[in-house]
Amino acid sequence: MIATILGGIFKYMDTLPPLVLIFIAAGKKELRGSLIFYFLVLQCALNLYANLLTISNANNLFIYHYNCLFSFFILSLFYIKLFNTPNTKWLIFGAALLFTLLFLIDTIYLEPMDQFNSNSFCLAAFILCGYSLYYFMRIFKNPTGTHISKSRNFWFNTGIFSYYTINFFIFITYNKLTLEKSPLLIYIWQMHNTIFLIMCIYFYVGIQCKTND
Amino acid sequence: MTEIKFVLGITFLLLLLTTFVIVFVFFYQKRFYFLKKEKQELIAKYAQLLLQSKIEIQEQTLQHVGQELHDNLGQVASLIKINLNTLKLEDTAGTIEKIESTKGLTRQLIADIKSLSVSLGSDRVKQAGLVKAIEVEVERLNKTRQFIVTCQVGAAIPDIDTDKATILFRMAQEILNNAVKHSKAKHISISINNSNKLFILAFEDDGIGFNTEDKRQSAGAGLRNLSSRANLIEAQLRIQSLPGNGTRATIELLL
Repeated sequence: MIATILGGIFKYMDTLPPLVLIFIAAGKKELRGSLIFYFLVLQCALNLYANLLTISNANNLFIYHYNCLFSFFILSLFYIKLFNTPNTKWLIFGAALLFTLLFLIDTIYLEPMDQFNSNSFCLAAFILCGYSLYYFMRIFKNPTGTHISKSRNFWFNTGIFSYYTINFFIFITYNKLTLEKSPLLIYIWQMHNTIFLIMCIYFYVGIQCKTND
Repeated sequence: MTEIKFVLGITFLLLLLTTFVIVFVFFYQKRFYFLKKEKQELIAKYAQLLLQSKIEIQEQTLQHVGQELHDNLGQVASLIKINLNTLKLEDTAGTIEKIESTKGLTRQLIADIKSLSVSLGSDRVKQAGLVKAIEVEVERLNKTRQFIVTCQVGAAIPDIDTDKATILFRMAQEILNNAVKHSKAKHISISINNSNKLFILAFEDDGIGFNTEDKRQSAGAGLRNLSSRANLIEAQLRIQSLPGNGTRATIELLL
């Protein structure tokens, strides 16, 4: 029974936390139209739809193709705004174009819409980890006057870094594991959802902060 | 099953790695923030102490000027007035003598006024330098005829940064004031030397001395002020004294 309850909690851990954060963020004027807000809305909507498809025993793997692509675009825009220099802007823009091209090649030739897109997710994770590490490096080189624990962007970046780094190996192997139809696959996705919850916790801390940097 | 375990194991390791990175960044930045805050506080404290020292120097100067005007200049001006009032034109020899005496007194008065005007200069230490400012203090004390104050200046005394010189001068004034008020000394000697970029300012008196431990533990602000000023300019302050054996105070500053 406990396993069932826990299973139920884990199942919706990629939907409920972002939904709660959306309501909290919506109450703050400066966050309502922010990119992290749109990211949370996207995650909540797509994950909810994926869960509904699971309940009706339909294949929901195509949702993750859209999730990967649109999340990557939103987070790329977030980092363009965060770094705020012409060089990084063009670099991130270039990376986004390259990613889109590789995503299309992957979807058309390697991992079609009815399979989990491990390749795209890994590439997105790799690039986004790079951006988040670059942000940490900037903090080392040019420490801000504000205490880092009060910086919203620090916590958002930490959430993104945690989610995409820790899940990297899950993303790499998930396509193969789904094709093998492993019965223990559910534990992998529950691990993913737990890490998703960790990211939401970091986002929550960031939402509570008053300053951006 | 093995594959699942492997994936979970690697994921757990990545969780530990990311946690380590985040904690490291967090504590690094936190430490930087506190060091910056500490530095700002030190700068503010230094500026405040410097301002306080300048105000105290000015107060002491004004006190000295007031005393000089009353005790010295006022006396000389009165003597000039008496001389002029008691002039008898019919007594030529006497009048000439009094006029000569009055001329002498007037010259002395002008010299004393000039000397006072120098000490009224808004930043004596900046204008004249630390050594000259201390020599003026020595001269002032000697004029009271209550002490014999000597000042020995070594060769090649380098220029000291104005802010540090102001604080050193204030410390010198404080030490001299303590000797004047409490020591009952007859002789006070000051030596200013420079040895291997070490600036040494030493004071010695033949007064009654005191127990330095008792003074440190008591609530007196004098020694504490001296210590905090020395710490602020990274100078070493040593005070050696025993009851009945006089006092020796040394300030050493690495240039």
